[in-house]
Amino acid sequence: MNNLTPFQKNFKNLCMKLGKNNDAVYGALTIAASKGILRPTFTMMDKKQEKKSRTYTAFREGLTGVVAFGSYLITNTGVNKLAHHIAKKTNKLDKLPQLKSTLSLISVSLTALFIIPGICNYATKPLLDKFQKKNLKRHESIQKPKTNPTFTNLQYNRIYNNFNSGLRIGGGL
Amino acid sequence: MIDKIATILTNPKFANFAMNTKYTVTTESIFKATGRPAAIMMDKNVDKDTRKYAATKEGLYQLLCLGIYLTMIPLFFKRYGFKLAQKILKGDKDLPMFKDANEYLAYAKLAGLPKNERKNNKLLQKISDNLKISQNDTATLKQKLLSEEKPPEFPVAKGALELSNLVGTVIGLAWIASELSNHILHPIMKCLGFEKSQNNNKIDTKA
Repeated sequence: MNNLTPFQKNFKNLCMKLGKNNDAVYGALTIAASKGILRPTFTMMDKKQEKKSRTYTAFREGLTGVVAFGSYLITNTGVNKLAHHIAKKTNKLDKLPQLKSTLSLISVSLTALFIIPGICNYATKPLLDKFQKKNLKRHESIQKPKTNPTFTNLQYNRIYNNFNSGLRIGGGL
Repeated sequence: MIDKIATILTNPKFANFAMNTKYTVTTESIFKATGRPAAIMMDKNVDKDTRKYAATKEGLYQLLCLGIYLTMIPLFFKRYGFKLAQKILKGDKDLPMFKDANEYLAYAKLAGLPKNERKNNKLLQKISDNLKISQNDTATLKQKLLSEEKPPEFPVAKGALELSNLVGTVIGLAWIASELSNHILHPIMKCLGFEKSQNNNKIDTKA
């Protein structure tokens, strides 16, 4: 196949890159980013639920994505170092892949079960409150009514209430 | 002490379990489906209804993810993603016409083994006898596996599989599971008694 279209060329380059440098971090980052964006978006679209619950759930889902990716990076490097250390100390360097796999399973399970939910429990509400306060301030500054120093609401009401014109049908109101 | 830990960690049964992707994903998903909802229910910073909603949604989402990961991704995305890549790069020497993704995976495993271990390997039966890099090639890939120390690796084929897995995971787990959980969440919450049908009238629908 000599003449590749630009699409075919780009597709081939992408496949080549993924095939040659298969770092699991790229996959984890893509999945974390897509989940971190799409899950909260879908949650906010659930009109059968109160807005307050949706906001908390969506914020927590986004935060879980961020925390999960961070802990993945930390545990991944930690497991590699620990597996090397144990294999060296016990003269089991030939069993390094098995050590890495079992340690990885243990660390990922513990992280999923305790660490990520723990961090989210600790951080979700304070961060959400800060985020909402910021939004509220911005909203207020945009919607603040402009007051005319020479023409107050009281004056306006007086003029409006005393203004009589045309034919009144059905009384004052 | 460290010897005992190493013995447990390298136990063949445990190691085989940890090296099997299906088992590890299932284990992680079960932990996520139990640990996360439990943690949400313990978050006393928010009211009970919000906790129930968030916890049910999280548990349901994790179970849906597990179902999609075990069924849709290998059956649909791995199979058709690889075929699609072959169609896009039809006739390209870097992506020969393997029958399917499984044939390529068998080839890649054999190519990674030392030459003397390939001949009697069961995986060799999965490789087609007539499979060549291109029609002008004289030797088949099977012959290359048996005669060459380092047969071609085809990183483009590996990348195509990685890409279809990645796309499948994003579409399946981030999009389909999220949308599906939105549709079935409220009926499930009603079944569990977490939501009363009268509540629908009071819902604040402001987005």
